[in-house]
Amino acid sequence: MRARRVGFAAPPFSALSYPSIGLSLLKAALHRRGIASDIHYLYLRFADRIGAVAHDLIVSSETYHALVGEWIFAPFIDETPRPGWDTDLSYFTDVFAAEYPDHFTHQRVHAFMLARTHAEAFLEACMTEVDWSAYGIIGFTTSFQQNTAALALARRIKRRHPETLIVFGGANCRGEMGVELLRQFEFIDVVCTDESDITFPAFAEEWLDGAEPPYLPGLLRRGSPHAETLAPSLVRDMDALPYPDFSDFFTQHAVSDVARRYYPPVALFETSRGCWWGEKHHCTFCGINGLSMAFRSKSPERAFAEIATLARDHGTDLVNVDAILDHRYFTTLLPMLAELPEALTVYYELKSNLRPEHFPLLAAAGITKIQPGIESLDSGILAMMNKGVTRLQNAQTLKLAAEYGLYVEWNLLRGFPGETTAQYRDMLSAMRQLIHLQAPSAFWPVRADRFSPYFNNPAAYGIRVEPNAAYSHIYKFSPGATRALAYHFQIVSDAPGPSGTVLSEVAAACAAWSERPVDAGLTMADDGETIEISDRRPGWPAATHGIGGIEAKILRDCWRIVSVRALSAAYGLEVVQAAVTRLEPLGLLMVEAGNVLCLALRNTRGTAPDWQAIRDRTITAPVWPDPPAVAPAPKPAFATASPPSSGHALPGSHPPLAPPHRERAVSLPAEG
Amino acid sequence: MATLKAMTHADLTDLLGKAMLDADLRAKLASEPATTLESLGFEPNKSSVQFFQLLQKNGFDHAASQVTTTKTHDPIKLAGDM
Repeated sequence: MRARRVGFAAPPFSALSYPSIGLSLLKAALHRRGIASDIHYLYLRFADRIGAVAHDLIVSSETYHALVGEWIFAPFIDETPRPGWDTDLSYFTDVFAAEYPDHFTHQRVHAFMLARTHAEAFLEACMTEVDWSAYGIIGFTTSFQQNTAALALARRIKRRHPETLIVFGGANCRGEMGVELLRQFEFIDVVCTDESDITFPAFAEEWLDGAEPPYLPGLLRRGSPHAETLAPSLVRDMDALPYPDFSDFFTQHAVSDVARRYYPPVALFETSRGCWWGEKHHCTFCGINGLSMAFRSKSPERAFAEIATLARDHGTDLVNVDAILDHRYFTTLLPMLAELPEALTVYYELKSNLRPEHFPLLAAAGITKIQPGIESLDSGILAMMNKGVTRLQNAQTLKLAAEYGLYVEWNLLRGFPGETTAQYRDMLSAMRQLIHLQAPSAFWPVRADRFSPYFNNPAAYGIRVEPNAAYSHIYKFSPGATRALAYHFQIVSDAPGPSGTVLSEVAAACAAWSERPVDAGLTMADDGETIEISDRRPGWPAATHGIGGIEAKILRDCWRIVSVRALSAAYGLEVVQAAVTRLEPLGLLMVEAGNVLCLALRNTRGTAPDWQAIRDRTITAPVWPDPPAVAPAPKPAFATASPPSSGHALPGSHPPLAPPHRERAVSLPAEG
Repeated sequence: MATLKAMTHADLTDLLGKAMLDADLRAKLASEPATTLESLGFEPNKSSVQFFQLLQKNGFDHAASQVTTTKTHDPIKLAGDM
């Protein structure tokens, strides 16, 4: 008789503030079928063993691609650890120090070593502290740096409870990786190679009832009587998904010594899967959507009900896990969130071609932390990665985010095939202009993740892709098997790239940007007649510019990206050219491909607000007179002189910067 | 002459922990890793010597590469001088 209960394991390493949304959805789906389940957040337990500092160093994004978390548990995935494993230092000398020479410090190494010395005892503790015999099925989630800990524990559970079915799922099991896991590790019985919201609960119900489960697409079973395939079983109706059940996480987080002290728990939510941009133009390095690029989203009503319920049940800090925001939500879901009686603090990933009118909508909805995928400040490099945005659009996103009190999480990536020294020289100039805005978090080499265009078709880009060097120190299989298990790949190219000098200069500029003085602003004050711009940016002469007349009108219109052609239609080409020629060298305007953007912020701060100010909602709306709206003028060609038409401003003028309206209480619909 | 043993990860963890509290030991490991490891009873193989040479590049001898943190409550005290 099989125990009619499912156990789930979330192994080290993972962010201590976050539950597993995948397991939490499966728990809820099993509940619908009358099957009880428990999620064991083992990464919280391991953090309690090694402490917050060691955990932070292991999961640090600064050194992520060394995969140190995978290295820590690697020896224990074998029945008997390989001879010499505990004297081998080659991972440090050949991988970590080679990849991150500036981060190879004694404190990091000490932390990593301590974690490794605790790994085996931790695995044994997991065996004794959890009654795994209570479960007919034990499911492991494994994404990013969770594979080796999952494998090491699964082996031990299977040895002690051979009757229990071991199931693996998560991002590390997608496609070929899942096939290879099943091939290499005999203790794994089933692998879910893609979305399993529908297939796993159906399988579990049949299996726990003692029946023979039918063929289920994307679910591979050892010794299956069916001819199984990797065909994914995508969720078509996102509204049919249950609300994730985070109860196990919040219960276990509350008793985790390390997590409750330092990592406030947040609820995750999902409103879509796939990527609407990637369906048309797949970013060359991105593999995040695996085999499921098809974009699907929840109805705004359903999304709102889920968000409001999670906020009510778990607090108002919410993190979205979508690859990209459904752009239809700007007119549907976001206004609904803005009406909630209590302000949310929501993190969303979206595309950086945001229109100006989107920013107040985001702010009013409480979406105050965004990841717009900026990636570069050079339009040529952005085109190489198929991003579909320009430098000017990225600059506008950074600027308007600062004005509306949104925190922008972004990085600069380097190492794209074909990029040049000249492009990075140009980028240095742009960085100098934008230094009053949100700084990039890092300047990293781009990787070719599995499922990305670089991975799928490297020859088209003149490159080769090789598994990250760390993998050969994690898995002791043939190169082919190791490649099949790998998710992260490095780009190898024989083409000359940018000079080391210019890359060092960009890295230094990133560091200087992050450390700019708090008052390093570029502010504009407008009394309706004259604009006064105060420039306190590092690298620029401290100055106050008084600007009046037509120049002031042009500057007002450039609060958003506007074409020189459109400006010329309003003011005359010669006037516009004269203004741009005077103001651009002062760093007040960014000009690219016949388009112009004013970089000064229309509020008193003049710099991107810090996170605390955003949390405190202390961002004040600037006073900004509405320019008169006019009908679009006929557009002459850019090079054609047009008569001045002073006194007219451009259509599409800025939206009001009013604080969100929060009066109406909202009743929460019950889960459908 | 006593038999030298291969330095295990546990030995290295212990040695790094001690070195963080002992400036003299840090300086010796940084400047003469082979001799120092041998004096401590460990085989000074190529890998372990290279390991300390690489650490030295980031200021191991004067412990300049500390991680700063406000998370002071730790079950494990990572480094004596943190």
